[in-house]
Amino acid sequence: MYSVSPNTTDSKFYNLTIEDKNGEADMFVTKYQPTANWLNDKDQVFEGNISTLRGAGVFTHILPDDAGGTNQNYDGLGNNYGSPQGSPYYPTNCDGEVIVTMETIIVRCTCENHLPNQCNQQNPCVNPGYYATIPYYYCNLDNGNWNSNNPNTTGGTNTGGSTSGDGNNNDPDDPRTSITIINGGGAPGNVFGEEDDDFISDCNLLENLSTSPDFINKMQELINNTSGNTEIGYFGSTDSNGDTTLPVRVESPENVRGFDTTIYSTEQVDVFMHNHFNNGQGSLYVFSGSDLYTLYQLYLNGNITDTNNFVMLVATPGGSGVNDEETLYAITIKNETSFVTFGANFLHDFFLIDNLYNNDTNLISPNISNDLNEERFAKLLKTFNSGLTVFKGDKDNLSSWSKLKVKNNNTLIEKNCN
Amino acid sequence: MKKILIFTVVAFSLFACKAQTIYSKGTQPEAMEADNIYIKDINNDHDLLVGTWKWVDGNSSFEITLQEFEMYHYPDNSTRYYDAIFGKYKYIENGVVIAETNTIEPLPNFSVGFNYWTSTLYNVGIKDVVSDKSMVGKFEIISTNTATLNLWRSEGIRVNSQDNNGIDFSLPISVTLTKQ
Repeated sequence: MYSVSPNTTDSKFYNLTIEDKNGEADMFVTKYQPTANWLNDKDQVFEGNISTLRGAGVFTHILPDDAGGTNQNYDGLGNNYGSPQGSPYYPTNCDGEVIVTMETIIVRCTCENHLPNQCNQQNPCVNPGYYATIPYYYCNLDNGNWNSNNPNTTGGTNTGGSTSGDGNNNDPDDPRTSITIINGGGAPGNVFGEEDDDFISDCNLLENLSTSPDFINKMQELINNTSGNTEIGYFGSTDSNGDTTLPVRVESPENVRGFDTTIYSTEQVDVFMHNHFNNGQGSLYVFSGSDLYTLYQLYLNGNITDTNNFVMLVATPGGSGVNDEETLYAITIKNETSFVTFGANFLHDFFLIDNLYNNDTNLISPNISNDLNEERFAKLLKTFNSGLTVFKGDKDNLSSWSKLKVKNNNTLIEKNCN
Repeated sequence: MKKILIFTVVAFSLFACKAQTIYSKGTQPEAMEADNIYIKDINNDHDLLVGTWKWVDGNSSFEITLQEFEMYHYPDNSTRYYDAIFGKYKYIENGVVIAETNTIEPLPNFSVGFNYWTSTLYNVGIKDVVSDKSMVGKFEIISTNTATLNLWRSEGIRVNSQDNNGIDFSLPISVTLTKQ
């Protein structure tokens, strides 16, 4: 049933839904409160607030009206990979059961399109963005026979607990795929799990780099130099305003790779970045064993004062694949304890990690494509429980990053930050 | 009752132990299980490689001795096994021994490691005990008793490395060797 408020200045409209779910009758009202922008052009994606009132005889308010809100800029954290796809709009054409879940969306800072509260602190954004939890609707055509990809598999009522869903609903091994079904009036729980917190934090860290002019200029130099004949490295730090400067520059002699340098323990290093180049002997399109060795040395030497704030980056030349081109990769330290153990076992000598790259089980090599190298590299980090997370960047857009994640079924996915 | 108990224990053990999958050399990692694997030299490609290879030029020589470590794994808790090749070397220049490793050690204290790429091409890592520097490279078998060895520095900017000591890499970096 569709109803429109007689008060046209209010510009709200409602969907009254009567459902028969799992043999139980219920009904709820979804309220849509559009923005003026949407009202001026109703052909665009809905823009405004959405909230739901559910009741069996008596309506129970399950979502604060002011907590919703969605527009074309939002980023749904749920249903990114899942099937069936959910939607913030009630599926009026659904011939099966309608499942309602609470999912978190990101409304980005409008001035710089950053994640919420990540806009320039010097010039605060009028609309800094926010996270909001809104109802998502799934149409179950199997009449209750949901597979493991389905958010309904966990069943149960919402008790306000943590769901920690990130949208990877197609991973049966991933404990974070649980999405709570709203059957009653429970308030939504913490939708961000620990891993999601790390992911968002790392994405913020990487995106923030691209707001620093010094980083942009020097990273561009490294990208250009992937077709040159030297390795260039920059070491720098990030101040309390989030501005990164990279004052220490080192460069290898021409056509020399694998060169040594010294960084004193008094030097704080939040960012270390460098380039690879191909001198005819091939070049690794991901971090080399020596790069991981250097990361560990910086840690041991006391240069990395805050592992949560540290990023190591590399600009690499195109690989052996037909479509391979220059690529950026970044590493963050996700689990310091694991990283220290990984370092102690495998990074005390780069000769050891170089050998492990090449052995039969890893086969990371200049002679294979970018895609294979990054997959094998991500798997190596996981196999050795490195405590490190690897991200892939875009040489043409320094604020664009994706996490390379090895799932429990040993496949690689890219989880986009943007 | 005792038989039932024994049967139960044996049956449980069989179910608890996941079977090991054997792959031939050259199998791509994407085609393999993540754990409980054994990458075996099924085609005996290592027969061509193991033994002693020597380069001689007057009173100078460079000798590498290679040995197969069957069903090797590293680290100890890894369930990913493979037939590995490690070795030792002796470098004599004008009759003087410049660098030598006397024993063949596997990871992590190895001085020579060979990794299969094809039946005639191996990725190589060699550590020079004089300079404490290491190099990577390729060892290519061009006939049953002849091979080329080319070495270079692996890439990467190394901070505070143990090999930043001012001593040059002392081993030959490009030689043709003969199987002894």
